[in-house]
Amino acid sequence: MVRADGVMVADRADVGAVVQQHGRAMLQLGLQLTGSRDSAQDLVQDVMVRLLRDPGPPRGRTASYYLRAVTNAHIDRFRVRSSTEVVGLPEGREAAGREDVPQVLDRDAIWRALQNLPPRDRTVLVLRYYLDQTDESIGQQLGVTAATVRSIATRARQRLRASHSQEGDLS
Amino acid sequence: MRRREPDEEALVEIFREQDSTITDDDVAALAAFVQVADSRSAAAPSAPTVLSVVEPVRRRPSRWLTPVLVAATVVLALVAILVTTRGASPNAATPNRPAPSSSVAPSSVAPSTSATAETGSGPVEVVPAPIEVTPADGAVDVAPNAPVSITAPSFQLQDDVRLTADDGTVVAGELDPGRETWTATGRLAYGTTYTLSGSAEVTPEGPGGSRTLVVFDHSFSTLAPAAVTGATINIPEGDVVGIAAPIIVTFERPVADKAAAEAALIVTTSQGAALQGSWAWMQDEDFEGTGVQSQAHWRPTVSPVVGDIPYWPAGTEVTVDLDLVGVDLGEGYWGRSDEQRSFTVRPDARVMKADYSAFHLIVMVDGQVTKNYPVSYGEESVPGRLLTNGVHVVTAKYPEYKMCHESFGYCDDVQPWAVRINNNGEFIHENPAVDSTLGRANVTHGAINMGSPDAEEFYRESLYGDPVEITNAPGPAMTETDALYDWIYSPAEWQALSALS
Repeated sequence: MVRADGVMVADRADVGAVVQQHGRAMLQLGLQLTGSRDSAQDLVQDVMVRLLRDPGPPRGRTASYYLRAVTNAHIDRFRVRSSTEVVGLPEGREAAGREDVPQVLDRDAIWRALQNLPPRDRTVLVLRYYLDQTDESIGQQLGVTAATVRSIATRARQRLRASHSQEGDLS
Repeated sequence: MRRREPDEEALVEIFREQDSTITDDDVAALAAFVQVADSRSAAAPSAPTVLSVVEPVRRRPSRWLTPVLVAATVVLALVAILVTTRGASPNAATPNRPAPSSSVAPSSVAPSTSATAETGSGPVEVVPAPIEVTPADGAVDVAPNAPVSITAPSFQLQDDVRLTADDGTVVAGELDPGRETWTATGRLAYGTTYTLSGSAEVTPEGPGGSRTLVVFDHSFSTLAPAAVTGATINIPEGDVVGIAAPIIVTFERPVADKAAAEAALIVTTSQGAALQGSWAWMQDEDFEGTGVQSQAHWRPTVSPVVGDIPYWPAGTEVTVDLDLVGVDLGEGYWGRSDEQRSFTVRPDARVMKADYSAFHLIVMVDGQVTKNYPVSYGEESVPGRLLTNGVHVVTAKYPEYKMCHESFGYCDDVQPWAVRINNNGEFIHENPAVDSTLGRANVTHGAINMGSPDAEEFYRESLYGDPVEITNAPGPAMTETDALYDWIYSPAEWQALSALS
């Protein structure tokens, strides 16, 4: 970018325009990842502060770039650098519990159950079913293999089903 | 796409439904927050700008400002800081501060663990802060080898200091132990805009002190040269060389500013100060058949090696850096790229003693005679067949080499196991035709002839840079017409060939 006085300066991100174009989608993703409006606002504000200082490569500033920034900021917050080993389920076990799933699902109950999932499990579900990302892409962001992503997703779905039926029993 | 189970379909719909939880108010709150955070750009468009966030103040807020303002008189850049106090704590507001602005994010935002995310509502004031940055913010045509640093006296620079190129490349750098200065250690490129960003923090003096975070974002751009030229190093990466091996750097074209070029050629050895040497510029000539070029050689001048000649100590590890990017080589040419080579001097100090009068070639390793080959040197009675006296250097070796000697009427004379020690036909090679004279007479056409299997053994044990000290030859001493003639010079004469001396 060349300034009016002819001086070459770094291309600053016009963060106001970013909010105009992508703010709602970023907040919505933040909501899915964190479970609350306030936490979503906090997360996205954090992303905006980062963008002010490092706008990223100009050509890369697409909607997916900003959504990725929100995801990364969220992952940074919950990531613990100890080995949180995931006990993988054998492939093909996914359909095993299918008959247990009630045909009519209580969506509010599932949303509440989502709040109780570990952050990484929830993130996997959001990236998989909200952003419709591939297991390979999700694995790259979380630093795990696609197979691990699949086993996390399977385990998280089982937990949701379990908590849902439990809640159903209680009500 | 794979079929989804009912519970997966439900998740897709649940997530979609929740989108509507985010309202226009949420987006407006984010926009307001960003406007405050970004107002620095409007307030000071050309100056480096900072965003500062202060934690709840429980004592006189200006206490830390006094030393900072004094320090500001000696710094290069005066920077506007945007200071906000967090409104999250009910004790945060103090009577001498304006009421919280309504244009910032809702106060219900949860406190964050990240300092940069301490972005709750609060009063705003602008104060100067000292940030000393080199090159200056907005500088253009900066040479890529210029130093890059940022100093924030009385602040603590944070780990987020980054020097980033416009293509996203991050340049390495390091903080000093006191965290007041960050210096780039990586190399810059031509024609690139760099952003130096990060934050610095004032440490509170005691419990409850105000913590101030300064966020900075400077940029400068490097020059884009009209013409660039490069250089090559003769020794391959990881090679093992003899103890007389010169490092030869050949430039693609004549170098006008040899002093500037020489300053960018760095030799580092495992011997430390015990081993010293210097660059010497050869006369510009067409070394590679591609036009006139410049060439510089490095050889030791002071060495811990015993003897009159300061050879490389055996086993020395050597690294050659050509830090040519950002170097103005003169006449409009700049260095194209940086090069680095590492090599090792052979672990056995191998010297060949070729006494013309003895008809033998003696190999000495670590000061001990290990081989005594019978040989035949150039025939004394025939002008032009004489070897030159002096320290020759093995420059190349060939399993077979076509010898030509036009004045003696032969060419295509294929000689096996040829080790080149000069550019004028001086080889050490096998020649069964002279077997009967080996060790007794000098009959060759200017080479050192050996029998079989001596020549093959000598070939296999020779490396680039092995010295061959030829003495008592009736011919002339080596001159600048020979190659490599680096060792005809005394250390003082060699140093005089430096462009920096």
